[in-house]
Amino acid sequence: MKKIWIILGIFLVLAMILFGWYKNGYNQAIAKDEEVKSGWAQVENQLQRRNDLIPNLVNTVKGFASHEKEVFTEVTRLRSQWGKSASVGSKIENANAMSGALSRLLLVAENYPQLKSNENFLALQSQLEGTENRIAVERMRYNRAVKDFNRFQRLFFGRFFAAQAGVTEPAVYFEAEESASKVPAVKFN
Amino acid sequence: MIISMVKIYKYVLVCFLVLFSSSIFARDAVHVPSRGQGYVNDFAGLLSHSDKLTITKFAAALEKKTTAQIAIVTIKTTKPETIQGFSVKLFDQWKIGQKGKDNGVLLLMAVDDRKAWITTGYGMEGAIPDVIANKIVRDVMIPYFKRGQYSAGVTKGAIAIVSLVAKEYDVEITGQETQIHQAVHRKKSGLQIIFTILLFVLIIGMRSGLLGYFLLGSMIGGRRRGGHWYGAGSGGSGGGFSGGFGGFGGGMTGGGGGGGGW
Repeated sequence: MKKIWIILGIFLVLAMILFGWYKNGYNQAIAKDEEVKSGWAQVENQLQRRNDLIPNLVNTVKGFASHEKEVFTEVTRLRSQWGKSASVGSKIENANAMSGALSRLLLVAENYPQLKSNENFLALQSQLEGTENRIAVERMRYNRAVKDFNRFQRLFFGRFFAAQAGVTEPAVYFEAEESASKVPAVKFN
Repeated sequence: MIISMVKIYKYVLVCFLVLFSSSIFARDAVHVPSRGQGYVNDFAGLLSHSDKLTITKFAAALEKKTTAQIAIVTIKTTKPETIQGFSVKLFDQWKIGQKGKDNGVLLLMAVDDRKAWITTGYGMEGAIPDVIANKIVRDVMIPYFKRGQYSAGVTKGAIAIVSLVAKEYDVEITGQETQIHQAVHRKKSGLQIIFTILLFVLIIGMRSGLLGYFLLGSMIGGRRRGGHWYGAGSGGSGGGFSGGFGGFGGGMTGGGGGGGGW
């Protein structure tokens, strides 16, 4: 009779340990996945903010450099494409292309001294600069979360817990292209 | 006889090297402390004493009335980092502003790079939008910097920031708040002198042997031992200057702000 209790007790302890282990792993997977998701939401906010600046910027530059059509159409095209890209990967691609196109636009602006001293343009440029900086910050935080999650996923049983939390793929890093990381700087002379 | 003389010379030489080597290195690369030493951190040594006092008064009054925190930092250079990148890292490290409110503002001026940058915490983006931050640097500070009046330029910029933040919170800061004035003076007496001497002794001990190192290490405890997290620029001292400063409070930045060069 006593033996049964002992065996039952051992069984109960084991079950509790197993439950604790599972709960811990599962919760960790959820928490890390949430970090990645909220980090991405912040990145997306800032990218959206940049896209919202574009019509104004394009119009201002157009007023001084109307014949530089290529760069306008590219920026506008990328902006409309943004709404259609659904996955994180394609959004990152779009954002990087946009960074390149925007720095070309600002390069074009360099050739028009009147534009460069236009108050409206200067304001837009500083807004754009601030937004690029915000994107850089949120990108860094997002990538940190991605690194944390992906490392977890590669741990022993990590993949199992991640799958339990509903994630089977590793998270995608937001790698900026070289041209994108170079923020167009404002120069005052 | 001669050999022993040489030995003594060698010993003395080594002693001197140990004692002074760290200060030589310190002159080559100023280290930014892992925590803010006050509202004003003049690592480049550009600010006059009275200007430091003025900024501190304004900043202390601002924090008292609104809980918002500003940090004014001068440095020689941020290289190889950009001024924006360095500002964000510094902000993240010091955590300027209150936790949850994120109401901190950092004004960083890199004199050798000829650049200044204002970084706003998440909660200050409304009070100081990027365009305004840009304007403060461009229209308020840079005209002074161009004439080499760094101390005046930084002070005017700091006051501009304070008044914008005060306006956001609907309070008035005149820089004449008396309680803070007293706090500045009270801090300078008695205990602080003893503490300074103690610290001095400890540092000397640290440079000449392991004992001081051990002592200081155990004093600082769990925190990073060196107390420095970043090295850049050269010369100057931190200029510990508090005025009722109780440490930065855990604010975060999203990288907002603006600035420029001259």
